[in-house]
Amino acid sequence: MEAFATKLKEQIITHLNLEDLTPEEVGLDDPLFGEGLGLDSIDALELIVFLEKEYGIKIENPEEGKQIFESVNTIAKFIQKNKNT
Amino acid sequence: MNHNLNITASCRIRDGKVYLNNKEVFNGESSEDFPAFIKSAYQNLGLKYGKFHKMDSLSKLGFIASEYIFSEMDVGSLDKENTAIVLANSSSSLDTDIRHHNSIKDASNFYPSPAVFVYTLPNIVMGEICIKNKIQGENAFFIFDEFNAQTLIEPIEILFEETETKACLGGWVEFLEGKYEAFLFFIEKESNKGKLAFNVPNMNQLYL
Repeated sequence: MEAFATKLKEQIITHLNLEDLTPEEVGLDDPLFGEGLGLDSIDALELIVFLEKEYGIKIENPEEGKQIFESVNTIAKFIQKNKNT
Repeated sequence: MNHNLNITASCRIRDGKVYLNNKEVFNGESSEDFPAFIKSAYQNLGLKYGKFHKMDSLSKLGFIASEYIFSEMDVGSLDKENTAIVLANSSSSLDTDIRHHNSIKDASNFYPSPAVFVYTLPNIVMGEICIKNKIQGENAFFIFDEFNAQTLIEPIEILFEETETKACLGGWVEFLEGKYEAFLFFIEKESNKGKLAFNVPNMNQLYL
C-alpha cells in the first residue's frame, strides 16, 4: 500500500505541475488543500479527471471528494477500494 | 489628452533574452524551447511561486515580464486599487484554445483538462499578475493585428483621464505555437522616476 501511495504521490506532483515540490517534501498524510499543499478548486477538478483517466474511476458523488482528496493516502485507499469494482 | 504620463519601467522578452529598461538582464538563448527558457527566466528572478508552473504559456510570458518590471520597484508602495493593467496581442489565447481542442476532438479519448480550459481566455494573464501583486484597478485586454503604440496609448490615456487610475502596467504579450514576444511598460502620473514621456516615439524606441 505504501509503495502504491508513493507512486501516486509522484503521479499527482507531475499531473498537477507542482514543480516546486519534490516527492520527499510531501508526506502521505499531509493535507492537500488549504494550509497543506495549497491546492485549489481547479486542482480538485484535475484530480477527478486524473482518477478517471489513469484508473478508470469516476467520482459519482461530488460530496465524497472532500474526504477522498484529503491526502495522498486517502486517495490511494479510495483507488485500491474502487479500481476493480 | 493628458501629457504628464511617464514610462517609468519597461521589459522586453524576445529571442531568448529579457531586457529591463532597455538593458539585457537575462540571456536564455541556450534553452531548447519556450518552456525551458521561461522556466530559466523564472528561476533567474529567484521566485518561489508554485502557481507559475500551472500557467499556460501566454500567462507565463506576461507574468515573467511583469515580475521583471516589479523586481526593481517598491510594489508595496503602489496604490493597488488604482493600478490598472492594459494588455494586447494578436493571437488572443489561441495557443491554449488549440491545446484544449486537441483534448476534446476525439470522442473516444475525451479528457478535457480543467487546468488547460481555465486559460482559454487571453485576459487570464492579467488575472495572474493581479493575484500575485494584489492589483485591483481597471483592466482591459485588446486584440490587434500587430503591435501599435498608438492603439495602446489611447485606452491608457483615457483610463488616466476618466478614472482614479494612478499607475498602469501596459503592453503587448503574444504567444502562439512556440513563437513569443512580450513588451510591457509601467506608466505613472507625474512621476519623477525615469521622466520618459508616454508617447508614440518613446514607445516605438523601447519596443524595437
